[in-house]
Amino acid sequence: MRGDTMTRLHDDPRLTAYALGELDAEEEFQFGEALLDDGAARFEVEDIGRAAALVRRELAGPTGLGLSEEQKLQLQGEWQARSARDGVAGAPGNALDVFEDRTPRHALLAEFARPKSLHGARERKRFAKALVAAVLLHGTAAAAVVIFPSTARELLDEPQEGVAFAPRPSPEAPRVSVAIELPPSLRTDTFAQPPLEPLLPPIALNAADLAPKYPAAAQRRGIGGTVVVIFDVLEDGSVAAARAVSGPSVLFESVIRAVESWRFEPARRGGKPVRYSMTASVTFRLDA
Amino acid sequence: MANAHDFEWIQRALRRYEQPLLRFAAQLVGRGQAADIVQDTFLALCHAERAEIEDRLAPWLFIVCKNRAFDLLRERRRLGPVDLLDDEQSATPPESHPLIHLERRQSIDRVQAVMEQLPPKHRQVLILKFSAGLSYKQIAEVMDLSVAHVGVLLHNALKLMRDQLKEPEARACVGTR
Repeated sequence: MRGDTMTRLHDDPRLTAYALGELDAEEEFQFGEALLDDGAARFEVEDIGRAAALVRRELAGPTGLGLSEEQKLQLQGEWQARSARDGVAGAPGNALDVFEDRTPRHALLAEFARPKSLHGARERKRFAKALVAAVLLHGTAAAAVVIFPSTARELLDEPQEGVAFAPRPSPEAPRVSVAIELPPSLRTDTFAQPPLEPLLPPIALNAADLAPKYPAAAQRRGIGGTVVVIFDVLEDGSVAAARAVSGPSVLFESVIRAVESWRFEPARRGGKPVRYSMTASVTFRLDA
Repeated sequence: MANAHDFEWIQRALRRYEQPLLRFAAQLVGRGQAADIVQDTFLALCHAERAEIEDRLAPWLFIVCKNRAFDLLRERRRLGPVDLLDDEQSATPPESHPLIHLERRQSIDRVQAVMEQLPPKHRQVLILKFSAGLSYKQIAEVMDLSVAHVGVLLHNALKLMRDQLKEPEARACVGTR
């Protein structure tokens, strides 16, 4: 029996499991007992432990990769959009405090977090003062952001009241209602170049007529809920890179197929079409 | 229900798992697109129900990351012939060809070089175990394998690492670029 144990232990994956503390209490005890009589196996365990330590040290080092500032801001934006959808008021200003790296630029952007129009004279004066302050404090880069508060709003804000509409119920499934909201999300290329003009978000042309179908199998099993899908509206108004990020996965395919068939008037900056990232929520409900 | 204060939980997840997820994604889709995959993963987290996933956050993140990576790989294949460097096999940078002369480098460099030689599944379990800190059971969930299989993969991966890291001078200049 002991001879068996010795030959078996030599190439036994449990050596590694033991070295990494992955055996359950009883197995660990028994294994430990067996090791007492097996010097070769004990050496193996120590050797594996050393290799593990080297790997652990290597993998603790930096990758040289990371999410960019704008990607992190986008996460914040998504969170606020989700908060708004859940009906809980997310305070516009304080979300900025969450990032420890509080640069003056963030503080400046906070100035424009509250949705306002620029049409009043008082507003224009306030904006002009902030612009001067920005130039004096931070130079033209920050000034570029200040000039275009609509851009700042895109970055920070709770979503503007997106287009919400309930598509006409399809005759074959009158008991199902699908509601689609299209809150504009952050532009994917916001930081690619200094913005020159205000941005007009895309306009949905046919989403109302092309609602996702409610799969029969999901209906039968009583599966409903909200699918959130993120997608890009390209310069030609078509949809690309649609991906569902939450909700019942059985409903994903139907939503993505529908979203890919939608057409938009593209987002425009200064009259020029630009790529734009959007989020849509599709709610599937089985009405009584 | 989400509110602005709960964003802290997203931040915590970012601090803890951003780098391990980037490693994991990089060896699936390459360094160039790893950040996008991880971004998608955290976007999904923003929309998830915290109460439902909080006590299995780590495996959840890596499963979502893996699925996003596979979506991207499928998309690449669908779009036709791709630059070899984008292909899954070329997640290793070209200069890490196996048997490239392992001169007297610091041990960390050698560890990096040896890891990049490993077959993909072996590399993945090493990352999940030693970068992300997942248990065998969690790794099994992420990779859709049995716990026993994970144990075998880890055992073999560590043995390969150990064998390759021994006697560096003897291995120097064994191969050519």
